[in-house]
Amino acid sequence: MVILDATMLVLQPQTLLVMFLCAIYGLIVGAIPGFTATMAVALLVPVTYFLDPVPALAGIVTLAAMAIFAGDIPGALLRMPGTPASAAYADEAYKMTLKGQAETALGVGLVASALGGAFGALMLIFAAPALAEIALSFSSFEYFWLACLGLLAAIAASTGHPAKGAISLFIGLGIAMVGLDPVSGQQRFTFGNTNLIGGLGFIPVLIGLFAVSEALRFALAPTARAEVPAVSLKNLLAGVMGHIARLKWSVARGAGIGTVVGAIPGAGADIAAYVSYAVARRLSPRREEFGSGIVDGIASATAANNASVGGAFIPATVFGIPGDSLSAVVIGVLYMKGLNPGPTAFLVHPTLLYAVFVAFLLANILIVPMGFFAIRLFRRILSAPPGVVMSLVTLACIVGAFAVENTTFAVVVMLGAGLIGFYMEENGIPLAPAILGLVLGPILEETFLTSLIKSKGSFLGFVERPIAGGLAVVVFSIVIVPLGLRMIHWMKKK
Amino acid sequence: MKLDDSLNGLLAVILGLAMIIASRGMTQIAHIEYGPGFFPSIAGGGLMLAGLFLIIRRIAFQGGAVEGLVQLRGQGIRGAFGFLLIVSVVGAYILFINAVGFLLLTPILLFVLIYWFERRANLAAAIAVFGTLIFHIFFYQLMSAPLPWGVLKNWSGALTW
Repeated sequence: MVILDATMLVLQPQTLLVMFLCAIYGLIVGAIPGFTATMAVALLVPVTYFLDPVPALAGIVTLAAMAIFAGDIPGALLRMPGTPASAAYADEAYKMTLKGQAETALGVGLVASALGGAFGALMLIFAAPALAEIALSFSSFEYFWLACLGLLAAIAASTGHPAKGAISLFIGLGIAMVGLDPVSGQQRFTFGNTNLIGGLGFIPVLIGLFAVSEALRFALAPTARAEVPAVSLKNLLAGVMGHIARLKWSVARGAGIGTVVGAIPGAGADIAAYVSYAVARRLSPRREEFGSGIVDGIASATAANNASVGGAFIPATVFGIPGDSLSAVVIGVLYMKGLNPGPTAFLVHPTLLYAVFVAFLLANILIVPMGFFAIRLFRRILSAPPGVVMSLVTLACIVGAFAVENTTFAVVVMLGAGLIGFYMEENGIPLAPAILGLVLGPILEETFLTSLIKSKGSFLGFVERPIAGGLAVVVFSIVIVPLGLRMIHWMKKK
Repeated sequence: MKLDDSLNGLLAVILGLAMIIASRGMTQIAHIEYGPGFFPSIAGGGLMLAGLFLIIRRIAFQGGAVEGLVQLRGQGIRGAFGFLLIVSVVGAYILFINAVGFLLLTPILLFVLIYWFERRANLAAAIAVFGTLIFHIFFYQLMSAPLPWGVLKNWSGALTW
């Protein structure tokens, strides 16, 4: 019954229109090399501020699904992945293009993306409520460890050196601490500025970190318009089903890997694709041909990156713990719309949450027809002068930040975050841990202090409950095991 | 602009230290052991540790070394101007939007940006005007976001539909 009501909400004209427009936007942004799905979502968030919860969230999940797929198009045709999620197999797909098999690479990628995404969405629909029932027995102790797990995994799974991941995380935590202390209500890092008492706005910070930083990087070294090779893209679906039937287990495995990897806090679509590609290579009877331009690895990896989005939404909705930077943004929007994530959300707003899940499933089905046109129109998309696109992006950043808070101070915050994001990106400091720190910081602090009050100041209380104790072991293992392994490796070398 | 990791580490140490010092000055509340400064001091400590780790890695293993400590990327002076232009455009919006208004200030800012990147005056002018109108229609008319009218305030009624 809830599912039926949710489906009716999704089928409202306003929701469908928003989904359709977001799908076009996601396909265009995803197809432009250098733009990420998170950046696209960051620019969309100010618009969702003015929408009802279901169209707003349906738009975001549609955009995410489309952008992740669209990243495959420039990867195959230009060897430039549109989003980091397509990087794992961009080389493989491009080699197929060089062999005159661009249609197969993109056609199989299109169908496998939709299958992977739909699998992730179904897992979300069935696994999230089941997990939420278990999570209802969680107390602040378990949430504290889950937040720790999210933050540590964000460092462990981030690109670059772990120390840089840690710096990014602490910058995010620092940003989250500006404003009032959640327990005592005392001011922190406000420096007497009344604008800072309410904290730094999530949306201006998000736009600054992900979009303004990109505009600044472009300004420093503007990129020329990419030339698309003259390849035929007319028979995209010819022979595709034959390949999909041959690779059905590989696609299924990729979708499974993607969902699981996506659900691990900190590991996003890019890691899911790399893991799935590596597994497909190891298990394939054609493993020697991997890397020379065959479709076998592409199908599995592209199913994985689309499935990971659904996987990442599972901990995001059930625990409020983001799986990646994209789901961190979704958590921010859920809070903005009063749908505070957590197991009780499934009791308080079940229809609204299921509507978002159904919209995500629908979006993944829509990947096939809409992605088909995006591939055909790719040359047109890339014909837009990059300077014009980036100028409009800059304006969208300014107007978006201003419109949401109706104050120029939000634009100041956005610029500050943009400069920080620029510095971080230029120096190999990943952005994802910062955004996870921004979302998880207040949760970590609140659950820590609440737990301490409950346990009357005793730290034993943090590990006395079985699940809390198990999570504590996992958290400490993430820190100790890699350090131990590195130590053993170092001693062996000596 | 890529910095040597010893500088990145040093920056993290300084920022972490500043967070710890600032957290020490936060008001403690009676009978509460973990006051408002507790978490900032942990974050500051973590930032310092990560920074120290980067410095040690740089000294011991040459990890993240940059020749001359600072490496400038991009198109030299032109790239630096482009960077400053984006910052200036955002700065101009902050300073003048309420006085001048969205409909007059935005086309100027858009024209400057597009002309700088594309060097085509007609294209820049056309997109500056149409882009501003589209942004205004979308955010002000459809989304009801209160974009400032500035000097056009007296005509705002006539320009709203």
